[in-house]
Amino acid sequence: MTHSSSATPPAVELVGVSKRFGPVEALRGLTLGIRAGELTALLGPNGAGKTTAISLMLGLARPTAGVVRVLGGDPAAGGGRTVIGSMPQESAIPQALTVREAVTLFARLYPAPLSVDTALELADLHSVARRRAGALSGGQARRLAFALAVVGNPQVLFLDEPTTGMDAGSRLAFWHAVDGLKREGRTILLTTHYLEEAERTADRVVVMNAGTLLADGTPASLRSGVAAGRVRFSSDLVLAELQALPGVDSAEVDGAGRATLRTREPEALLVALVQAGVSFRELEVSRASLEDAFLSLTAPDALKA
Amino acid sequence: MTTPSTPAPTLPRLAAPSGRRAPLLPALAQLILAELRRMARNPMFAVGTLGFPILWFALFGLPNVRETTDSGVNVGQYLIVSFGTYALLSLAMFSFGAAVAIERTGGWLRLLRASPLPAPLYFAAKILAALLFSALSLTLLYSFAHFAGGVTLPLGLALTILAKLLLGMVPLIALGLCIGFLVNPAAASVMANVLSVLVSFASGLFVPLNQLPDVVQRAAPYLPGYHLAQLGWSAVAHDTTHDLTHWLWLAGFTLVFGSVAVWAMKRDEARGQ
Ligand SMILES: Nc1ncnc2c1ncn2[C@@H]1O[C@H](COP(=O)(O)OP(=O)(O)OP(=O)(O)O)[C@@H](O)[C@H]1O
Ligand SMILES: [Mg+2]
Repeated sequence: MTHSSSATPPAVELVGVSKRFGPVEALRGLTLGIRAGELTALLGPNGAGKTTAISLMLGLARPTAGVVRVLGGDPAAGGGRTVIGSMPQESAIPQALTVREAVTLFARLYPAPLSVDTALELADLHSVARRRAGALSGGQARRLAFALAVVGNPQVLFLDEPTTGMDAGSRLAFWHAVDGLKREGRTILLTTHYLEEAERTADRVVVMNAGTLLADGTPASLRSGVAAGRVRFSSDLVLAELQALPGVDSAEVDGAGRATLRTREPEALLVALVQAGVSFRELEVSRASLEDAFLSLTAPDALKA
Repeated sequence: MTTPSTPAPTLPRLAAPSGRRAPLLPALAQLILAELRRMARNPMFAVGTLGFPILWFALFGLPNVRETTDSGVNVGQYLIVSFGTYALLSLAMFSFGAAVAIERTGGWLRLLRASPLPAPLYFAAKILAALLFSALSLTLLYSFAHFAGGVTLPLGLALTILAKLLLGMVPLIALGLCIGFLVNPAAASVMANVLSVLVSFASGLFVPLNQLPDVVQRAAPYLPGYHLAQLGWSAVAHDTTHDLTHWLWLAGFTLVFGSVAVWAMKRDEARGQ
């Protein structure tokens, strides 16, 4: 955890928040602060409660217990909505309007909006600006939903699975736009199932499962939390010899002598191998990815640990 | 497609939140425009609310527009009111029933709730757009009756009927909103169809009431369409003695349907997702 006790209050704050839908407990005592000016990625498997958390932050639903504050106020009171933009998980667009008309309509709802052309450009929509929203492809509809989220020139952006359905080019353009928004000091909270995207762009990653917080930190700190640096090679070493190598957390070897070692310090391990004069072939070294961290955090047995 | 290597468009610097709201009138104008576009671009809706009333008038009205009823009312003028009322009834059912159901379940309403748009503005825009579209529908019907049937409403009478029907449409709008907030889009569309035809029939819009079965005649005074049409017919007959009763009935319907609609809307809002 890298909690700085700086003076700026969090842009979004959840304290002991629970949300129940009948028998389903979507959130259980979730406590979370989203710092202003940061890009925070909210990760978690399907049904973890990400969308529920966002709808509480938007003031669309009320918590069963606990407190939600956005920019210091109750989001359900609606006072802060002029500086908040949101992109729902399911693109909600007015089918009968053209892309430009829809963005123009949304711009009029905010006191100091971006120009419609700026929003269209940010969402890479100029080529389909005259098309009816109902005729857009899935990825184009996502981009329109993004344009609607940013056209109000919001200070805080909530993006629920923004890149789902976007092709590779659109995703790049999207992250480029998000980078620009972040550089201007906007606070962005997004959810995604594309972990490499979160790893690359997020200042901070929050992992949740079953309505509770599992981990919270920078992508690097989360990665380093799992011993998932992996070194593989073929050699004549037996299991006991492999386990005795420095820094090895776990080791496996198959019948053909192919070893798989997990370690936090692959560099030290390789130096030791070379110094010991072991002959090895087919070397493969991979760093722990956020995905490894995510999987080990959300694995069923990780919950008990 | 722009490649990510192009520089991001320059964004205005972030302004501190000032508690300022968007000016209401431009927002309202955009919302009304969006509604009108939605209505005009949906061929089924436009045909149903602009075309059908004229078609019914042509089929059932034109052959006997020159006759007068027993009470000395011109049949052509009487039928303009009948089919005009039908037009407003189906417009209210579709624009507020079917369309709101779609906007609600499709997430558009949720997105608007998360935006700074004040909820009353959304409804104001919808109602104003529906009234504009209704005025257009009535004007087309007047014009058709004039040019194709030689039935002319004097300007004063035409405007009186227009004003009475538009004002009396409010409970129908409230009924439409009830449907929109209570049932799913598929059911809302069926209900809109069934209600606009059934209520019209039972209110005596297609066949004069005195030619309908006894049960229907007795049920009619409990229908909003009946009272709305009576207000139009009373203008044509220059006999407004019972107008107050009809207005009171319509006010009552507004209260009932309006309360249900508000309750249903709050229930939908409380669901949150
Ligand atoms: N309106 C609702 N009524 C009943 N249960 C709900 C409702 N909304 C969410 N849930 C339940 O709450 C839990 C959390 O749902 P939520 O949509 O927040 O998950 P999520 O993390 O966004 O998942 P995903 O990655 O699939 O979008 C799920 O078990 C879901 O079934
Ligand atoms: Mg979700």
